[in-house]
Amino acid sequence: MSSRLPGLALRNVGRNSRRSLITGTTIVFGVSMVLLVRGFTVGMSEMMTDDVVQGRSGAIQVHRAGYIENIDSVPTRLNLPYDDALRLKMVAVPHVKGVTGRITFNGLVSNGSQQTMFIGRGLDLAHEGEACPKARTLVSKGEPLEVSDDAAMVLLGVELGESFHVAPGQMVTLQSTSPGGRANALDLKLKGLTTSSFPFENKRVVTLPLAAAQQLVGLDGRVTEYVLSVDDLAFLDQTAEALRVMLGPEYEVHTWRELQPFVRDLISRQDFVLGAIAFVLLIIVLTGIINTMLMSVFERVREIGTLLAIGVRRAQVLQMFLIEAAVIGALGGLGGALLGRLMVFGFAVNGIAIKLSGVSGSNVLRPFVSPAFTIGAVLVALLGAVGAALWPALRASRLNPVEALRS
Amino acid sequence: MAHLIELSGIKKSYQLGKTEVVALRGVDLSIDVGEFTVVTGPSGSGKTTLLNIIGCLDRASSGTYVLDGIDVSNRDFDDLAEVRNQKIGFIFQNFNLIPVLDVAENIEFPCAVRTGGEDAKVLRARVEKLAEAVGLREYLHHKPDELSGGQRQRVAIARALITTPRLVLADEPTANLDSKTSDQIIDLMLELNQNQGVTFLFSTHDPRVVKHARRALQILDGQMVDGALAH
Repeated sequence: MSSRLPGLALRNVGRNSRRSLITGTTIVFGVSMVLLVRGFTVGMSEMMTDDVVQGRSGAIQVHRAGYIENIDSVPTRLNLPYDDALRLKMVAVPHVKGVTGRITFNGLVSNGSQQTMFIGRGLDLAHEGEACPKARTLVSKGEPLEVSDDAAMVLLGVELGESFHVAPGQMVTLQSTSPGGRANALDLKLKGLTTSSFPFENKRVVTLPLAAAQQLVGLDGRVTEYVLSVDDLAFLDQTAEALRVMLGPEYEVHTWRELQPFVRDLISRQDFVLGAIAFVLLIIVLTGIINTMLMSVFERVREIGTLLAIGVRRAQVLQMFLIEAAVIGALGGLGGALLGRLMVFGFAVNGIAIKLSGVSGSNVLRPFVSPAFTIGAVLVALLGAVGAALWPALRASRLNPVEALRS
Repeated sequence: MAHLIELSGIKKSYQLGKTEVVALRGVDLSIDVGEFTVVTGPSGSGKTTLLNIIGCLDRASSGTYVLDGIDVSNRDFDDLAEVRNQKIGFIFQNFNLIPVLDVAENIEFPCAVRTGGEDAKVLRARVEKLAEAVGLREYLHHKPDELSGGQRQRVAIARALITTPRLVLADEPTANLDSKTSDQIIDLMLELNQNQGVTFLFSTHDPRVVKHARRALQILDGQMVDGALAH
């Protein structure tokens, strides 16, 4: 293409400035909204991930082979030795930040007059903070468990505690069985109530020090799982694979995505909703561009005839209209990116306190949009504008010069 | 010596709904270099169709058309675009300037759209020379909407000449001008014809244009009535 035609295309953008402005504004709106929605979705995903990884399951868990397959029966018989040698071996794996051990078991809890089933979590309080630093924030009434606590302390899920009419300081009795079937019971002092947006956890979960759990289920020196944190979730799969290689076939290694399919699916659904919103916005924006370019073609039929008469080729006319659309798309996309990022930044500075299903306690949502997504949105605006202009541009390039000059 | 334009048995028909309209019924015509020719005829006689075919804007249904030694009868659209750009200058009744370009840019446009066109400075010098020739040296940076009708048509003439074409086609060039301006435009084209040897072919109803033509062709019902009416 000669140097004059791109210049002409640029000037044509400003020719009907009001229309170009409206179209550009539509693109700015579309792109900024996509970025904002994306920002909230990513922020929400990160908040949920953070909640799960730092407050519940950790980033990675290691079990005895076959544990997850039988997890519904809470198989304490599939336990692991809990010693510093194995723990430090795991800590030495690149990107592993902290390791702790837990026992998950089930049994009956009683307040003397009532009893019900529970899922117990025995935590190594000395190392729990390394693997799940936010776990302490789950306590809504009373105090969290501390390393210095007497082993005979316990936390109940808030609904469980309320249904038992017990308050911190009162005693409850836990009963369970060892892997060999030997029954055991422990009287523990209630230290607090834990709150979760998972209704199951509020109704059924009991948390106690690891030593107490080991004593209750007869697993001295053993745990049912190792819980690991990583320094960067981008390396999650890589780290899990390194652990699998290191530990061998007697162990199984799972990431939080495999352990928390509900949260994983929730994030996937959010991504789907974002995709649908982005698609609708894209259609609105592209319709605006098609309209603008068609109007532009209809208004300039005679001029296009003149261009064709003086020797401009059809392909050059096509390119000229596509350049016009690309300029509108690029400017609108850049404007939208700027506005969208400013809005995301504005919301992220203070954060938004939010509570959603599956998310516990006081979580702060901080919208975030990556530079790559921003660039992608601008490119989609640009390419979408060019794509939307293709039909009007083809119409222009295929005009019969005789008829065009006569119009 | 070969003719600049040589039409043989040119016929043109087209569909208007379900009706076939015959616009040209076998035109034979030759025009030599340097002629100043008008085509006259009533509306619907076929003169615009004839000029469109001569201008390579349209193709004949049958017959042959040789322009400057090149048979352009069956060339495709892009070939014809190149022929138009290289060999033909157009002057339109409505001037058809590009509103977002200034006078200088409008004049240079046919050269500027060429792939691998000439040096910008050389081109701009030729633009200034042509603007001088048509009396618009002071208006090079004016936009078309800042010019009068006569000035716009002068720009169109300069634009038609910038490619140093073999032929300038003018479709009713004075139809939208007042009589004084029309005379100025006709005088300008006559001067260019005489001094620079530019070949002009007009379609017109304007008797003043016909009066100045050295050759007047009359077309009626798609046929040449008098192929060489010399004044």
